[in-house]
Amino acid sequence: MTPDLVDLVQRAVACPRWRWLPGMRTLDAMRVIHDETLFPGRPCAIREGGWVDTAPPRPLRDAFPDLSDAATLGCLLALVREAWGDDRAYLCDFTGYDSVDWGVVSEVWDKKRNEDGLKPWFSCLLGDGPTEAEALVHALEKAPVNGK
Amino acid sequence: MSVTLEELGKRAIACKNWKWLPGMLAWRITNSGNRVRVRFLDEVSSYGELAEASQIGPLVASGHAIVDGWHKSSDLVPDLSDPATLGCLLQLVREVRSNPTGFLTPSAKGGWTYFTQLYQADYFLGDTEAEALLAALEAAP
Repeated sequence: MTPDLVDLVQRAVACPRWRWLPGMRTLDAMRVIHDETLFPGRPCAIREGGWVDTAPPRPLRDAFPDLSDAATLGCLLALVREAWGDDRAYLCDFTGYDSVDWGVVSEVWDKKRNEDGLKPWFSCLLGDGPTEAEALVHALEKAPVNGK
Repeated sequence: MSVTLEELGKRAIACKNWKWLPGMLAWRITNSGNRVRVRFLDEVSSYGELAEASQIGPLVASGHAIVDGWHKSSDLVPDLSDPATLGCLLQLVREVRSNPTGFLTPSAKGGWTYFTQLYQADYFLGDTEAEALLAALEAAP
């Protein structure tokens, strides 16, 4: 893993709005599941490969998300939408058309900023980065916490 | 699961380009109250009932391993309301359309559009994200 990727996954889990969602994959090849029977109210994970009986689910501790995994990115987008209160926020590939590559766009926030008289350049952008994962982590970092 | 979601799930698995990806959430057709999470299997199962589905690869599902065990993928329908499953479906559409950066945007009328590239005429519409992705998947060569 490159130093940049290490930094990115650490940034992700450090976000106040971060939490594990079922379906995410960890960097040590575990798949997050929801199992109320074994771990009520707590996220747990099970080994991605191998045979089931030899690797029972275990609680998540000191894990980092695999931000190259499609399911994990889908969950991260869901977290961003939840954190910003916009269930239609979306990822857009601006590469070649603007000064950002990937951006997380919110028309809800664009409208709010417009109503407040704040219309800076790219006011609809919640976060951006050279990859989808970086744009999503950036948006999660910038998300309001306790309404601020 | 609502009828609409179930129908969408069945449309998805009917696509010639459909495949299960690790992380997807699935409903069991035989027991619609149960859902399982698809995992990657890299060891061949010795269990007879899974012989059909126990090839190496992301074929067999288990979300609650010890509680539910493994299931044949033919008994499953994807839950297209699940964010992990939608992320996987997006990945699948990109893959089959050879378009690694395709993306979804909301449309003015309340639906969703899958674009293969920004400002390109190649797009697919749907009332929901899942439907737009399914339209793109169904139209893929």
